[in-house]
Amino acid sequence: MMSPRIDIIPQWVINGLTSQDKIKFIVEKVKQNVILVLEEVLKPEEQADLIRESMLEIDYETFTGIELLTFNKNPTGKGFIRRKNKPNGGSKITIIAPANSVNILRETSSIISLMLKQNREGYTD
Amino acid sequence: MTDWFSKVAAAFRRNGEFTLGIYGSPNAGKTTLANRICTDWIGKEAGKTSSIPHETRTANVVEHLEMHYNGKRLRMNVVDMPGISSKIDYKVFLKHGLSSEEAIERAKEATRGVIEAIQWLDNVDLALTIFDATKVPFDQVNLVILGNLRAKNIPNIIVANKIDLPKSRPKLVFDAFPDHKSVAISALTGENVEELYRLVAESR
Repeated sequence: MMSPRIDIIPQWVINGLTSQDKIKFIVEKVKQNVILVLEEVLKPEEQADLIRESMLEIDYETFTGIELLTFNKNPTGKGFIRRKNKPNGGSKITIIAPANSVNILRETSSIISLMLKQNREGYTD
Repeated sequence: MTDWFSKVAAAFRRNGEFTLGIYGSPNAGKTTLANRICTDWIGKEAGKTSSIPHETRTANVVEHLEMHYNGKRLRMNVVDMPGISSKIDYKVFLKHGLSSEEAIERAKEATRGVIEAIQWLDNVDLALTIFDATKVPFDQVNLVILGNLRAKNIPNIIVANKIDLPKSRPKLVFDAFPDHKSVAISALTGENVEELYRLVAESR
């Protein structure tokens, strides 16, 4: 498998897509071993639809689903990043990664760590 | 398929019953809780539990359950949902002693279960979202479930489960989601389930 690539997509690209097209775009990219960083928080319904579509694409070998990551709102209610009445406390980022290429470490609400899984070739290509 | 779920839920409502959906990640204790509720109120279990993830791979509906709390009579149908996950790797099941064929078949059933659980999200009247309190509560799947319930205006109770285990930290769950009704229980031993029943009665 090729080493994963990271694509960063600005809000104006995502906003131009319908929910259905957004999900299609994401699934196609992730199946090509692309880690997507979107400058947008997907709506809860879009996240559920994305999980459902990913389930339909699982082939049990090369694609085993996705890692979907957003920040919850600042749960403590402390600190300057708190944004009242805004989903995700004002955070505007969604990361979607192919599950077979990354491990996720999420021990606190404020840091998401992605670790690339290494294949036998060690992703040196 | 979605139409079928809404027809079932509508039929329940016509009978004066509501649909209680039990949601959560695989192995959070959904079926153990469904068993606890069903044993307490109708004297029989709802389904089989297992340490292997995705033991419940189709939604298990227990119909016509009647709960009494403080003079209030609640008629409900309990739906023990398959665990929702964004990834399913059949190799996980190999570690639990399944053959490759069995593991792949289980993975296929699990993917169908996830889809079914998501489809039910439109048709529950009250949700219990179960967290394994021995783990950190930041699994994205839980955020997706809670976000969808909120977007659909479906009342929800967060249940921090497994407080019988020394590693459990229910406060982490409560602190992560301070805006929700929440309760810490052990579905296995029954510890504090009375408080859960109080919250269910209060939510109807």
